[in-house]
Amino acid sequence: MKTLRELLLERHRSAEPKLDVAREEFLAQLEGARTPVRRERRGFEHLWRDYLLPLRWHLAGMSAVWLVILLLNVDRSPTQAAHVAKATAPAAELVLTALRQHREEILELTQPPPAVPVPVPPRRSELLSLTAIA
Amino acid sequence: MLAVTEPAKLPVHEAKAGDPAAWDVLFRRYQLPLYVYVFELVRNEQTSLDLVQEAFIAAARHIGSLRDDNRFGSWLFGIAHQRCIQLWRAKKRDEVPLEEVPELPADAEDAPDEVLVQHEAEEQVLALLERLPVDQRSALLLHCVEGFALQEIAEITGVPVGTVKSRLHNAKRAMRKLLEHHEDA
Repeated sequence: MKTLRELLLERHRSAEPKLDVAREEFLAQLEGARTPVRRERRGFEHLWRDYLLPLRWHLAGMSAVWLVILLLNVDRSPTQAAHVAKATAPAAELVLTALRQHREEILELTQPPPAVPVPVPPRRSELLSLTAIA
Repeated sequence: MLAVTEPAKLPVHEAKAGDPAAWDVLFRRYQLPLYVYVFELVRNEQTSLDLVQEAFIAAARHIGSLRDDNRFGSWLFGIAHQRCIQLWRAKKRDEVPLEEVPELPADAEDAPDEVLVQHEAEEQVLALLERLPVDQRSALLLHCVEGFALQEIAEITGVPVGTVKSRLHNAKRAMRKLLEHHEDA
């Protein structure tokens, strides 16, 4: 004869190794919560696991985009530069010529007209002498 | 009353201070009975293992609220019981809603005694246990596996003592009927 307790405990005795594992995990958690250094380390792990790891593809994509932008802006080979210079030279010359002409026009417009001699009225003494002669 | 627990020797006070060695002792003491109780309710090994661990994690978190150290066992089983209820609610299992039993007056029955099982009837008893309504099964397990008093079972399951008595009475009556039938056969 067995009691129901004995019967049930015997029936589930095979679960004890798994319960031992569960106990060890529980104790490890308990130890982790007690140790501040370990908690800090867990904090970094938590940061990595919860924030950086899920965004890894976004971060990789953004990095790739920035890399492409950087390459487009920086990577200019000498032949490309010469080609660009050659293509832009006539245009620049035209612009420069136009600017020069424009400048000359402005200078002509702003140049003061030739000085016209202003008639100077005779002096009073001269007028007096003239009247006296007359 | 069954004399199963030895609460005076358990390092509950040390566990309150966060001593891992004390928790190791408490876990070892209750792991199998708690697993048996949870398993016989949820009928799934992995879920039962998870629930046992979760019950201890919750216990470690809230042990400060335990007033009477001698009540650690019933308090722990209460946590596990609540976890089972939460699981059932989450799964919305149809079989779980408890069968209502009429409440007996408090003096309708003496404190239940142990259920003794003959070797030949073991499998049948275990099969019957599975078929019992969850409320009766829960009361019977708490009484037989850990030897909790009616008042403690009432606290664990959150029902009045009279309801616990009714559930135990019905469960034991079903068990006895099976055993008598087996003896007659």
